[in-house]
Amino acid sequence: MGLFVQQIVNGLALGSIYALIALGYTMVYGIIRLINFAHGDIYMIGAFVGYFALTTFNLPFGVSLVLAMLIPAILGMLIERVAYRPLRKSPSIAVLITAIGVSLLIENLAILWFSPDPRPFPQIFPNMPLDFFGIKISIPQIIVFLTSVALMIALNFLVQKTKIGKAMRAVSQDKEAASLMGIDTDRIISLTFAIGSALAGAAGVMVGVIYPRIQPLMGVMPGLKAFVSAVLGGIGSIPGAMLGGLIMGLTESLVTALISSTWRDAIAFGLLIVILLVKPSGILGKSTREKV
Amino acid sequence: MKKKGLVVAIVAVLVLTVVVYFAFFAGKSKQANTNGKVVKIGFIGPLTGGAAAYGINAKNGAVIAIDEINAAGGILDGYKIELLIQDNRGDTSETLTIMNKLIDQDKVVAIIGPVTTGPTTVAADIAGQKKVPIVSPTATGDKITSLSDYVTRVCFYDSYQGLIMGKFAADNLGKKTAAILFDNTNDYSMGLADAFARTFQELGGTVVSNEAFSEGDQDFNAQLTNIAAKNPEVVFVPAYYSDDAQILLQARALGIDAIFLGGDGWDSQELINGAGVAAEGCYFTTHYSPEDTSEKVQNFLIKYKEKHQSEPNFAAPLAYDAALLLADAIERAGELDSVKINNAITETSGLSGVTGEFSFDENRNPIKEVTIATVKDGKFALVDKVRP
Repeated sequence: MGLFVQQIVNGLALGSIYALIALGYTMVYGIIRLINFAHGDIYMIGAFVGYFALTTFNLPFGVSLVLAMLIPAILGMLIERVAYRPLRKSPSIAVLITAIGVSLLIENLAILWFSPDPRPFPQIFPNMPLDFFGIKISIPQIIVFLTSVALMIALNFLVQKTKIGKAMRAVSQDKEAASLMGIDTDRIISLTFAIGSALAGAAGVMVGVIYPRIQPLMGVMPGLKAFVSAVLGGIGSIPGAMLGGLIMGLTESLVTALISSTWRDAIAFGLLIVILLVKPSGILGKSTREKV
Repeated sequence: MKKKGLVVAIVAVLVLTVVVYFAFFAGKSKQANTNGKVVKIGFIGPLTGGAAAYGINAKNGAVIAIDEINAAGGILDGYKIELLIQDNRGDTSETLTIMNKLIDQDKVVAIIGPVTTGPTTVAADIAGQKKVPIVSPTATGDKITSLSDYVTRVCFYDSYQGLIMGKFAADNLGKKTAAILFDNTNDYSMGLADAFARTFQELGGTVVSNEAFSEGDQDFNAQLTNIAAKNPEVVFVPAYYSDDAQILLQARALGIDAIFLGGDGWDSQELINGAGVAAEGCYFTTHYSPEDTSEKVQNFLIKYKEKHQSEPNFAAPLAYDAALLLADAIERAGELDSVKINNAITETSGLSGVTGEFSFDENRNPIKEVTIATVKDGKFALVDKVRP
């Protein structure tokens, strides 16, 4: 029983990272119906910003985390401005292919600048477990889980309680109507990219804390898994992305622990197929009728 | 207009080919002429590409040995050895071309290499067909030497390491329970894991947990949590240094304080850079230890640094030993006949090289001591040299 609970803890720590990345996918999709394939690479950039802040510039962890959110946020806005905004009136397939192009560009620039060799992420927190009634939870896992939950609560507050959040929700419901109500939709879209990218950047640092090895292609697989999490939870739905990420992390941990690591990805992606067959809009997604 | 451009291009390519051809062979024949009596030995290894670190080290190691032999008067009463160095980029089809060229065109009597297991598999076929011996310094895949009678290696094979570590854990450390965490997408890792489990159990130990991961995994918490629940005394992780560092850190974070054991995949400074204090007190098997104070090792290190201005990895001393082995075999064969040289190689006994003293078993695998190293105060240290 203790073992099972412990595996759940492992799954929650992993899942909270997927959830942070999935939020960016889902927010961008919610607002401009685009799967931003460069999102996994923004997460990688976040990890590298954190790495350089902590090692080269020797900054404290808090400052590094803020920088690792700020710089990806700016990068996210820049990508939207340069690569996606000129294509706003183009067919969605053109934007999708552009997103893949941006992803490849960032990956290869990172290989060029940072070298393809993996780097050890500096260890800031004591590498040992805390004992909760016989259940051992490592300090990095606790930090990652708490930080992720705090960021998600902050995001929820931003979207539900602030004027910007209200505008974001309005744009996601109906872009034209929102713009007629005096909302600067371009600015709101830009802001959505910034927030999503900042969360991905934070996830990059979280991954450095818990699995301390970073390299330029680290974003590919987690990016894909987070995308699946977003679809699983219902793409476009913020609570859905959080739930999807946690389900994804739990599934992976439990499959690895109870069955085998070779089955992990097969079952995780199989889960997606089942959800899409049974409830195509995802667990928390609302099925919308095609607008004519 | 377009056609004219094409013609010019073709002519240019032809001229360039001819120039390169002459430049290459003119250089070669001049070199051969100055030496008089020459024995040609080929070298095949990846000097570019992903495995270049091993290929370049192997080449450097072999060159040091051959320079030494030539400086001491050569072999067979005054024959000098000429090493024909070829880059296979770690690629199997390139290896095929190079093997044919070295044997048919350059008439080498033997070949040092290839360096990695994949190309060695291809080279083994040709070596068997053409009856020219190849000696791989570093191809550790179990099956390599059973592919043809003309393949020998100077490194120990994968499961040999697992066997040695199993014995070390049971006998030297006196442990009774072990867990294994291996990469089930990698032959090397599976081979070591298997041999370790067999040996450890034969010697009275119990493998309490057998967990697997896949290449590219970041998160080992699920497997490590299962291992922690069984509370083993040692954990055997036959994987490469980058994964090993991750596994060590995550294991210590979960409070696993067992002794971690590994194979030659651990032998890299990156392990210590990545894992820090988590690597302290681990043991792994490897080919040689630069901390070994024996004269042979220290002399080799000094020569290597002098000649190549860098620190060697384990491929260098192994290739050095491969060259020694060939020179010794040619001497004993008494003539430049590839079949006789191959027989002499298999009959080698007690040849003393940088990586130990070795003879060969019936499959032309070396019987030699394995170095066991540990991490102490942030540095690698030699623990023991053991024979099975």
